[in-house]
Amino acid sequence: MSFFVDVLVGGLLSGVMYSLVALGFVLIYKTSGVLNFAQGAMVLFAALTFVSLTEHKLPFAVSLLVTLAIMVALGWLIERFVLKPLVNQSSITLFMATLGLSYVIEGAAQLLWGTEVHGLDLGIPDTPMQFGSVAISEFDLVAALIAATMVAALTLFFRTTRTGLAFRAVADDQLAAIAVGLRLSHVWAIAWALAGVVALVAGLLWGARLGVQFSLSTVVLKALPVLVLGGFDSIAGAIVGGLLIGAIEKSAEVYIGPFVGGGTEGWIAYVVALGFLLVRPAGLFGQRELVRA
Amino acid sequence: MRFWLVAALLAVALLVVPRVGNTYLFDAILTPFLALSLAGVGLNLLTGYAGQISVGSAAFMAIGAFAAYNFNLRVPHLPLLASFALAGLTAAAVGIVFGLPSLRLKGFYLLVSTLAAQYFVQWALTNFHWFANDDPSGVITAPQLAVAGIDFSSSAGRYVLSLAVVATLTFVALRLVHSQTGRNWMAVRDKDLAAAVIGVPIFRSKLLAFAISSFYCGVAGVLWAFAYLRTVESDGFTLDLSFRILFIIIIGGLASVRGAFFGAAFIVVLPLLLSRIGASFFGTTDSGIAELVEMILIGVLIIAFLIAEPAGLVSLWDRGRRRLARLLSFVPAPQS
Amino acid sequence: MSAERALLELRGIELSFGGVRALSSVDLTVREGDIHAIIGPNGAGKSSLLNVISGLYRPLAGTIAFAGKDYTHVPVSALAHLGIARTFQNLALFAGMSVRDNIVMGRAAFARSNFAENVLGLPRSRSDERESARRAEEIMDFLGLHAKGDRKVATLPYGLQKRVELGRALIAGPRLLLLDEPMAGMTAGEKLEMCRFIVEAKAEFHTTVVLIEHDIGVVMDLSDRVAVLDYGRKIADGPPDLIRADQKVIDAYIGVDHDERLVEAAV
Repeated sequence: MSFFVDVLVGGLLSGVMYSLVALGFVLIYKTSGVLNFAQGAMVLFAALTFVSLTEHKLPFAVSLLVTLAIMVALGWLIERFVLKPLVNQSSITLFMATLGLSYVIEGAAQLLWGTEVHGLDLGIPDTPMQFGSVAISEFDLVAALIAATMVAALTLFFRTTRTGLAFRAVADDQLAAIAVGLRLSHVWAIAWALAGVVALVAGLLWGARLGVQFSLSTVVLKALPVLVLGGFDSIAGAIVGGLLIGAIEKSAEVYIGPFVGGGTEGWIAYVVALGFLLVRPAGLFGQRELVRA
Repeated sequence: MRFWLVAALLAVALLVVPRVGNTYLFDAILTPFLALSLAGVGLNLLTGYAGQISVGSAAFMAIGAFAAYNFNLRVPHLPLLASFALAGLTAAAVGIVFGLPSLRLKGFYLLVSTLAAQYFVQWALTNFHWFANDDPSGVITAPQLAVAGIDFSSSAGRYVLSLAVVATLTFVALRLVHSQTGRNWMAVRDKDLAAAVIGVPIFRSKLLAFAISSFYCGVAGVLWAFAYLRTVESDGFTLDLSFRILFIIIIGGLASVRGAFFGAAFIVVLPLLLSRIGASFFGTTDSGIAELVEMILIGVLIIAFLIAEPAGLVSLWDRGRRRLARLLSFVPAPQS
Repeated sequence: MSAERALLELRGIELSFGGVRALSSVDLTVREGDIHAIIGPNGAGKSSLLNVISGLYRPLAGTIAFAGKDYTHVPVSALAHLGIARTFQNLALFAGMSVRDNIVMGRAAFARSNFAENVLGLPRSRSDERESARRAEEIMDFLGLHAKGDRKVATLPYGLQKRVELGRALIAGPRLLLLDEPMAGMTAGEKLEMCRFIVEAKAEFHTTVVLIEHDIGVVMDLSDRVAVLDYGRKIADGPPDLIRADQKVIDAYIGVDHDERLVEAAV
């Protein structure tokens, strides 16, 4: 039993990371209906920029601020030069555009900062702490805490600030939002900038865990099943979906893996998501009704 | 007139090119171009015509390659082309399975299904060693290429074999898209509700698109492995290859059979061109940098085409020709 | 009205969306060969009724009798074979296809050849194509679209697109043609033309027509019978002259004040 709890906790903690990436997706999808395939590339770009700045002897805080500024600018540029010209296009066209965008960002990030793997030390010890029979790394705990803080901050932002309310209005009904004088392009630009910030946080935590390297950008692919489970437009869903996918992956690898030669982590999330989609297309928390064919 | 142009082009490609071309032209350019074109045609049937997005083309190519290998290995005296066809059918069968979710899913939700295909197939082919005939390295050499006693194993031979297969299947694809089958696909893509009301069998049309598209990708995979790489290995059929095939049809032109050839030519030639440019202008032979520049260029072009020319290179080409025709006024204007 | 000539008969149709009533016990009898208009203020349930007839909505209660057969829900996939064709309020054309192909698509349900026959160009496929092409030419002649056959439908002006959609419905040779606001957004001249097409289609193809239209003047001239919906209930049904004088209809329109043109026409 305690072994199962260990597996589950391990899965949940890696799920926190998935949630963080999925969060960036939800921000964009909620406001503009775009499935931003470049979110993973943005995670890579953020982590690579930050780690390269610190390696050039910039202080931690300065590096963080500079990277933050760059990510906000990047988000704004994307909105201005990629999404705006494609407004009112089909969701498939928008997806393909962000796929192209991910190639641009990944290529540029590595051209600028090099292709080698960088270690990233955030100064958070990765030592296990004992909770009863379960050992949890301090780093994982801090990561979970940061994720929770971000969700709380975003929720507050959506509930209380003027901009946040504008976000929700646009998400609910674009035409009505325009009718009451909201500038869609402003809301979208802010959403993209916020997604850039989320990408930075995810990039730092992921980077510290796995090393900052190209494979970071592939975490984007794990976010897709997370979104399917949680619903593409739900912040809470991104968190729950991420945790679920993390737990399912770890348990599947431990309990099913041995019978099929391992490596189930590569695909189990997609197969689960697929099964889930067929039963409940809107996700656990999703609002948008899927149109049936 | 158009017919004779195509016939002349084919005649040159089949009779003249094999005599005058060199190994580099065949092995590095023409053979991969043909295999990718065929995969592009296949994906275009599904995505361009039927409107169902897929990022799993490489998985179906892998299925084709491994199926052809195993049919060749395990069925004695099976003609090579029969193993190609069986490989296509195997890919089509798997394609139908992963197309089933299209009954309920639309737009990019289908990505999940095709991504599942991509990862699951690659995993299964790597993990179950039977598929690779228990070869410890997982990299197996492609079989001898002989049709009706004639050996096609040379560079030029592999090119000619690929050309024959691709030309035949392209002809079939052209017939399909101009028939009721193709019109049904486009109707489902453009307005599925209206299509349903006039009696288009929506689900059957989608599944047929998945099946035929996967068949094409399967055969393209055989050519990719047997004629181009000369080896069969699951590592050769990554998600990146799937993306590139998607790029081929975006750049070449969605819903255009010709477009797949334009796009494939572009995707094959671009990296060669970049490394040439790198070598002669900057004196660098760093393939890593050329690769990154290629990534950026492809990405920029994808976005540019989607914004400015959604009908792709093929539409640019047609417009250029029409302009030229007006200037010279004796070249026939191309029909769409 | 003689019941034995009824082509379509709705009895006690109920429909609601998330608890909101869209149609309440609606009865409607459409006689074979009539042009039967459905009018009413916005949100009266006109389009919902058309969607029930064409099977897109499943009514909560009631039956739909078409050509002597009873349905609780008309199966969409069998619509074409039953002989029902329709157009949509906001154009539902296949934007990426030519005018000719859009019209040919109207016969999709009657294609007998499968994809293999199509590839090989077998006799059945060829006769399908020939038949479709011939009929498409007829329809395009009839609708004055001949010069536009090869144009991509999305490049045509709105009025012509509406005509193409009518053509796509007509090519199936339907017994019942459902038109959801065929003249919405048209100029006076275009409306007149469309009216002519509808009347001629009825004569030439022996089609019964049910149509929704806002322009009350047009409706009164065009229709054999007019049904009036208000808040999901049918409040009147009869020949145009009677409807024009019906106090309930006048009240409904003046009370709701949705359609000024109707008020002018009615007073």
